[in-house]
Amino acid sequence: MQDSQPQLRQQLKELIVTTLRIEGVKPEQIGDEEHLFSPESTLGLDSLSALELLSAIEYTFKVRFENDGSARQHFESVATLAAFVASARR
Amino acid sequence: MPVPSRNALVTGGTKGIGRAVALRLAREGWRVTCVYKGDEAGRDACAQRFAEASLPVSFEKVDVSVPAEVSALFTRLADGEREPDCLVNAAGMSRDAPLAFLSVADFDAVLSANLRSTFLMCQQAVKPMARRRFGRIVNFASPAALLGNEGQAAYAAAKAGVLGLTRTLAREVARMGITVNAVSPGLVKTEMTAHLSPEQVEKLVRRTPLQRMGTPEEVAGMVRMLCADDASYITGQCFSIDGGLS
Repeated sequence: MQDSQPQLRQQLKELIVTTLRIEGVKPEQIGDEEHLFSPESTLGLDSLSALELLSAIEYTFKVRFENDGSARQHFESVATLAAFVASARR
Repeated sequence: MPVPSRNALVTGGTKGIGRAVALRLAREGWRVTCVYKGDEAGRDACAQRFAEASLPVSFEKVDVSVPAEVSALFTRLADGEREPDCLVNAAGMSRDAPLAFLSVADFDAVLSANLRSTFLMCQQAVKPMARRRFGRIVNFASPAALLGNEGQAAYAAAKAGVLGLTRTLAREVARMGITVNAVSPGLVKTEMTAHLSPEQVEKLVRRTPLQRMGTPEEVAGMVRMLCADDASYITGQCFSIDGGLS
């Protein structure tokens, strides 16, 4: 059975906080559309963190990001990540 | 001291320096997977060497310059719980010619076999390493990258690229407990240098302060050291094992 988008988004937010060891931010405080790696992001993530998160997502959800340059778009926000995971799991 | 239950992945692992590295790591207790492109006789000979030493080994037939094949390799390794803690990128090849005679096809082929393959393997291998917050990557450079070498424009360019990749990747993944280093073997007695005439070998040996060819085992010793836990504070470096050539 596939997870619903709200469930997936919540799982991803938890994964972001735990994998990247973000202190002082609860998963539910991350906005669905919030830009994850932009300088304006309140999460304080830098782009090198993407590797850790990418690896954790692949492992957790049994999906694989293509190395065709599309990963950057998937990592824009929790919403885009959830959409990718949902489509990759089909 | 043996390192229990850690996985090593060695490209070009069935011949020459790669095979020596694979054997050395297996003797140290690593679970070794050798990647080879297609030389079944080489694979069989390598399997025989492991069997004679009573060492376990796995083989994967992969063209490491093809993204889809590399991706599929890592899926198989994950399924078999063999994702690498240590990656040694020993696969490579050279097509030597003076610049005037170097074809674009040969230039591209050499860059693909040496640089593109190293990039693709590193890109996949760092993922499980990042999760485990431990990893060792050893890439293969060359004195040609450091000094230049007549007739090796493509090879030197590819290996210089490997060095740049090594140093940059070392910075990108250091925070995850992954080290990335390079070794630069000089004139080493392998299948890759077997085509050299005695005169060519003599000329090269004369330029080498230690006045002899190296052995694959001498390179493997350095690689083994860089893969050890003790090497945790060494990253982004290139180590020459070339008898003093560079």
